[in-house]
Amino acid sequence: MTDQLIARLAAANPVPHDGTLHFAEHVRGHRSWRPVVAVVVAVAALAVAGVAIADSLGAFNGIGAANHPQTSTDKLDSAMETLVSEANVALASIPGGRDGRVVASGSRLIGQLSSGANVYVMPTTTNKLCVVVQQTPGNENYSGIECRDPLTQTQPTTMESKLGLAYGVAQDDVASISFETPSGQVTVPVKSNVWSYKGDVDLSTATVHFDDGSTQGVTSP
Amino acid sequence: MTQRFEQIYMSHRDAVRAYVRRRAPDAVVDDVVSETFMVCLRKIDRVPEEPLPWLYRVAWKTLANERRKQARLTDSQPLTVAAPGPVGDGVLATAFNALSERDREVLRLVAWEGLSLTDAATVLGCSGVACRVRYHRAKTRLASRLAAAGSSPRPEPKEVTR
Repeated sequence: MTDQLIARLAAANPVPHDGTLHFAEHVRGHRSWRPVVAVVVAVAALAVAGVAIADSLGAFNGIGAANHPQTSTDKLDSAMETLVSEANVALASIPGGRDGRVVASGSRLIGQLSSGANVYVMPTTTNKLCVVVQQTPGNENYSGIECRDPLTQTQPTTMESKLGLAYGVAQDDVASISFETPSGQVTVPVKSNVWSYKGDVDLSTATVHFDDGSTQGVTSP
Repeated sequence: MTQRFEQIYMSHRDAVRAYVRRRAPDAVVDDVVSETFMVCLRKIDRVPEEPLPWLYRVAWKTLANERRKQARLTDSQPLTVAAPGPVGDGVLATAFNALSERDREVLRLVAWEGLSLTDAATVLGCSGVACRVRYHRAKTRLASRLAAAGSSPRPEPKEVTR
């Protein structure tokens, strides 16, 4: 009886497996114009005030260590430029393209992991924030590039963990991050917007400790 | 890194897109599919050998985030419309749509995505046993609703007049 039930439900599949996506009726979203207007007004006001708007405005939101003109130490080495190129090939293959491509020329060196590897941030053409860990001898497994929305008050830190290393880039007012490890809760300080921890961790949730003593729970984006 | 990602993307993009279209209005499908593969790219070293159930789980979480984001847009007209339900069988659609989302999702995974209960458990983030229990209870509840509506699990063949 119940197999017949599943067969009946399968026959009513709104998007069948033959690839004919015939059900979907096009629904246009009614997005508010207000955010667009607000951005235009803000940009116009800044222009009138004669404020130079950096390419990375927005992507480096809240990251003081990245808020400086690019210097020679901010520039990527050839191995990292290759990493960025590979990431851009992959990004280009994603439909919609809303993540744009990583702008290597906008890189800023902001700090180091506990392993000694440099941590850079760079924007994408759509103002996403990319965190790039330098490839160094003995550090190849940890190197990589992670792109996401810029930091906000609700998501004041990035959180990544791979092969026994956790790290992230946090906003200026974040003093430390706490998370669970197999041996209990650990709190690591944020230095120059970067935090890192060597060991296995559970980053599904974490607690952000701000300079003013307040705390906030965050989940892995 | 990119080679494996491209392989996963080319092999599974249609399945992921269909999965999202079965659960969300067209207006958000591109965003959700794009975000799902961005997560895949970011976490490529953690994607299991059989990636599809993992991709479905990521898409499911992305959809949940999208719904929360829309719920926060109180000053704009909401984008959300009802997710697609069963088509071409009104009695079944009514019974199915009256189930909880928890029941509907396990039934969709088996009937529409064609997943085994083991793979469905991966998508739902529960143990195989818990998923099996959830599945059987959902089927029982759907059958009860159909019975209450006077419908057998299989629709009666239509009478043909000549």
